[in-house]
Amino acid sequence: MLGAPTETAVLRTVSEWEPQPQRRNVLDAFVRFCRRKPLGAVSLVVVVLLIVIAALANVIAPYDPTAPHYGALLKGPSLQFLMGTDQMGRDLLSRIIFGSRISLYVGFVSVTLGVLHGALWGAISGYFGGKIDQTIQRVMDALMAIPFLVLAMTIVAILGSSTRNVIIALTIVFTPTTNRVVRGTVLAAKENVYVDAAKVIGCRSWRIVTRHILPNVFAPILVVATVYLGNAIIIEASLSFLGMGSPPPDASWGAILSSEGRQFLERAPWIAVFPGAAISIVVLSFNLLGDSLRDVLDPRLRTQ
Amino acid sequence: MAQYVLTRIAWVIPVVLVVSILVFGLIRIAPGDVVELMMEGMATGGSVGSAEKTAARLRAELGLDKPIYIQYLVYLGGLVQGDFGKSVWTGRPTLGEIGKALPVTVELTAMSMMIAVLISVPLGTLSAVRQDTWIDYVARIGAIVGLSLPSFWTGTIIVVFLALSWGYAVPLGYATLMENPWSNFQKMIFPSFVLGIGLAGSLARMVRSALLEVLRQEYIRTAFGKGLTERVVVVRHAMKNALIPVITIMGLQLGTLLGGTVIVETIFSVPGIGSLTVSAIQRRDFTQLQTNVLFFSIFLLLMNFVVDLLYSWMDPRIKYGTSET
Repeated sequence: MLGAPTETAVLRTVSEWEPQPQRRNVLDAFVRFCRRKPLGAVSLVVVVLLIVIAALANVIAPYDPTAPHYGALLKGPSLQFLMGTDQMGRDLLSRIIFGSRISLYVGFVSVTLGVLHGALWGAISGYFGGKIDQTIQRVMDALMAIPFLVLAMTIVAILGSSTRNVIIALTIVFTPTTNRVVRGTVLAAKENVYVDAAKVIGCRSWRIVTRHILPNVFAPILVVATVYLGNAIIIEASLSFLGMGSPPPDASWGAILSSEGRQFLERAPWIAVFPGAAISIVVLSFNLLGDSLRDVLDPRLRTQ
Repeated sequence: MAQYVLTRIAWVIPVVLVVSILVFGLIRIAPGDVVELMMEGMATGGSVGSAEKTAARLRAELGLDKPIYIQYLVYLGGLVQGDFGKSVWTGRPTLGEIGKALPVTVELTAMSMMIAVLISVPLGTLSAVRQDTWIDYVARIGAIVGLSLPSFWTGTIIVVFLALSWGYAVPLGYATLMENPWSNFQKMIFPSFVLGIGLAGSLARMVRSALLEVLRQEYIRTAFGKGLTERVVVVRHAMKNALIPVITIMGLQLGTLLGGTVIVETIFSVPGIGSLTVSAIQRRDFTQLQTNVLFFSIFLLLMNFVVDLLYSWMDPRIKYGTSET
């Protein structure tokens, strides 16, 4: 199948070749992605929708998430309150819509910081090797030896419960794994002839790393980051569930489920059901998106 | 082999050492005064004088008046002699608390792992053997849903669902396996199930892709060619090779599983290391927290080590400790 191309085929390819505007290519790639991975496309739509909901929370939410309706305490889902109310008569739907802001904010910021941080140490470690590499890797070993959630809990316990500290904790949690991915890719990319060539013409280490090596890291990092987003949202929700997330009156999904939901479980199960369902749908979307991106971007990691 | 085991155990020590430095350092660099933070958690309610006395006692116990590296060396000296410090809350050695909690968490982890294997192996196999049929799609979506459900939600939902639809109150707490095996089973099955389905999701995906890879190999075609039934080919010939990468994933997922025990033990009031850690944090009992984190990492490292050994036992081609050419 991979025989030499015929002369006419080559001529046709050459004649058809003309520089395409960059935007067109991005659009094409997107359409191709949707055709090849319909489930991935659906999850992408869900993620985009969620970002819109979070951004427009104050427009979309039917009520103020902190305003109590004393005439409607612990009311089940109805036309007036689509997802019911909690023990203070606050509208659950509005609380969940506003809660998406915390989940997404914590998710995106911590994954971005964690990936940048991990990539920085990974690139230094992989490129320079030797003692620097050894030292960095031993610290990463130690961080990876502590279960994610326990590490995050410990950091938040020491720094105090706040959204900022949850982000710091998650950044530290995501650093070692990204570090490994980047280090591995850098080690492999370093062996390429074009890196030697860059050295020979006198490029500095910094330029070689940023211009010639790091672009190789982009695809695996994008995949890892998408899956981390799901993880970050679960860890943030778990921390809030344990009372270590954003302090009230912020309505984080995990916190709604824990403080309000568990107390009134049998009388008002909807308080536990809806925020949990929201977390599950979002995490599922990020996982499906990550899977599809991996299949499209990184053939080496492809699942059958 | 013996040499490999020794080197691997020797490798665990420096990692645990770095973990101890990290946790020790983290607690010492906490913003504000650690002692005040701890006192907040203690809420003694005594007079001001007694609070000051407690603060002074804590400071002396933690050796906060000395430089940080001396503090660490003293702590390390204690660790080597098996002295992990006393709990600020109970005054009892932290190691003793761990000793009580560890078997519970080990049992919980082992049971969840068993449940995960019991779900994922048949599911992944079915999915691979019936590739691209509706069975495959349902199984794959089931696996990724299992992977995405937060354990604190599934735990809560199971409790609510059983109570509301069958009036069955899920038994909380713990009974020892030796003294009361049936009660132990009843109390451990739900938390193990909740943890198990999360792990089952990622394992099933791995079983499927590993099996698909193996099913394409020539010896499988030969096996079919000589007239063996699909069942025999899959179970006897393909599974053996396919399960090897699955063990790797199991090793990688151990951390998530152990982290999950924190949540599940809290929901089901299981007195393991997870719930001990949560209460240590709530009481700001940092000496207990320090010991717990250390033990979580030792446990994780040792389990990874066991997975590695299992690996070479499953696949005779993998031999550790001998340099291969």
